[in-house]
Amino acid sequence: MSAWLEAQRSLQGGPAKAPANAEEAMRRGLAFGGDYLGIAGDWWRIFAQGPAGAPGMAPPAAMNLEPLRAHFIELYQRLFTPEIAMAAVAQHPAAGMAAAGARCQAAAQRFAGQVVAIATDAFRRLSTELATTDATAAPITSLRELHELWIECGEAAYAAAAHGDDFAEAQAELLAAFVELRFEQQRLRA
Amino acid sequence: MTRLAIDPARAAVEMTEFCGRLAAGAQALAALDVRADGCSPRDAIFRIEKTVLWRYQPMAADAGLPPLVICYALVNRPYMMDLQPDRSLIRGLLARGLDVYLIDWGYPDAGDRELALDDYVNRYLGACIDQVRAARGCGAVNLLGVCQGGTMSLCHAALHPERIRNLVTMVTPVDFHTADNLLSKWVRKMDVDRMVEVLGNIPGELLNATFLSLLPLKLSLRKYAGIADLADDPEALANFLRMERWIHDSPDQAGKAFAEFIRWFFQDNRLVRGGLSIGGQAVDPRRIECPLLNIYATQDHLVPPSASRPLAGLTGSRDYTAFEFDGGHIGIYVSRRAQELLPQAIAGWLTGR
Repeated sequence: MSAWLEAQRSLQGGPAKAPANAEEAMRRGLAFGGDYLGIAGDWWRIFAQGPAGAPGMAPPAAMNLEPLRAHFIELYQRLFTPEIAMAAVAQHPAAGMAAAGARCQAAAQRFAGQVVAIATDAFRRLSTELATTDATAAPITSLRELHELWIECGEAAYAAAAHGDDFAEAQAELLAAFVELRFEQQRLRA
Repeated sequence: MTRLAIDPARAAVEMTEFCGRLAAGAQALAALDVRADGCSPRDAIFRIEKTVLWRYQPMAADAGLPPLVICYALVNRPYMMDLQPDRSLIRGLLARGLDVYLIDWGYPDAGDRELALDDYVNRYLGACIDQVRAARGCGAVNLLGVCQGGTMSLCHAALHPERIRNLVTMVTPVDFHTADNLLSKWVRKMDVDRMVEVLGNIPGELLNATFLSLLPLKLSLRKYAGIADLADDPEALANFLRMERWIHDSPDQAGKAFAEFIRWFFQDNRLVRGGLSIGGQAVDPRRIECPLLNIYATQDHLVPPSASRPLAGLTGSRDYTAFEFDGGHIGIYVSRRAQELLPQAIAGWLTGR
């Protein structure tokens, strides 16, 4: 995420590099940890309850992942919306800037939609893996093993989507929208 | 039925211990002062604009082979070839008596936005090779191209075959349109000319984010969670930090050359399909008749082996050897097995030619 934020900063004309500041790194780390554990907690509540709220493990197909989706939508829209650029749009609401800002927001929303679908699919895969009827599947006895399984499920879900045209087009449009916003910023400065 | 068999009390202990180790690891990393720009003694013997040609000081008796020039990619920094004493392909080659040169392209700035692939492939690479030929009094050099630098080396060898005695390509993309090439699928959708028109040079940070996005969970969550396992191993932490420094040390890309590389190779796949021209001269891989060693990694997520293998049969060489390394794009430089296998594979292959 840090790499993505640095890329946004470089595209939107922010300071060249984030200063090497331990406090800032810690703040980002804690914010990320909070999001991560929050989502993990949401997933666990869904996984551990039956479809009607009864205790026990729900069959993956019956699980309602909507609360997770809501969490993801908030998280990813925040991540993919370029803060620096949006501040510039607010300061200079000229027609070109406004249009470029709107395009950026729409592109961020479209790309976030892709990532939300991937994240939801990843949790579905994880739930399926855990609810397997395969008696030979190794039991998960530690949080670290559970995390490893999550990584594998996440990468599998990501690969399934990222090789598709929809993902590539959404990503290209997000980049193009950033570039056009940068162009409008340059025109204002000229 | 579930595979979950986590005891809540043990999980609480595990989480507490993990957080403690992670914090200790992060704290130890913050206190480390790790240098990352290569480790072996070397001398700058030639400069042309921002490009520097390094010659490494010998570490063993001369094997009597033509000098070996390493052409690294424009993305990332070439000290990956000599990261630290026990993780250095260059040291492995020096130990086998090779005379090793390394091209460092430097960090392009705003004044370099008009640099074209012609500048890199013909002017800079050509000047470095000519410098080595003159210094050593040899007609042709051995050329080792790495990743994108391998693609550029193929182009140079096709344009100037008389300068190259033997060509080694390492994790080099040749066919950019194979089905498992994720980076290529993404890049083909991008309007690179407009990007360069607006941005000038392409920020290195954008490239970083793109490369990490290829395997986002493994290259972020898994990797950083792994800090907890290194917390009480200062040497492992130093290795980790050195690698992180390299990963995030991405030069900006000269705009015109970047756009040309994306359009001609990623989007049009001209090296394989034909129609490639650099500096007004047609690049015909069939003009490469020197012996070829093609090294690629079976688990490479950046340059899948399917992108490298088509080099077989593409050139006019009748002496083609493929070397498959069981590992990934980074492991091929720094893993222990790579140190054991690759220098010997390269030096042994060169010795026979």
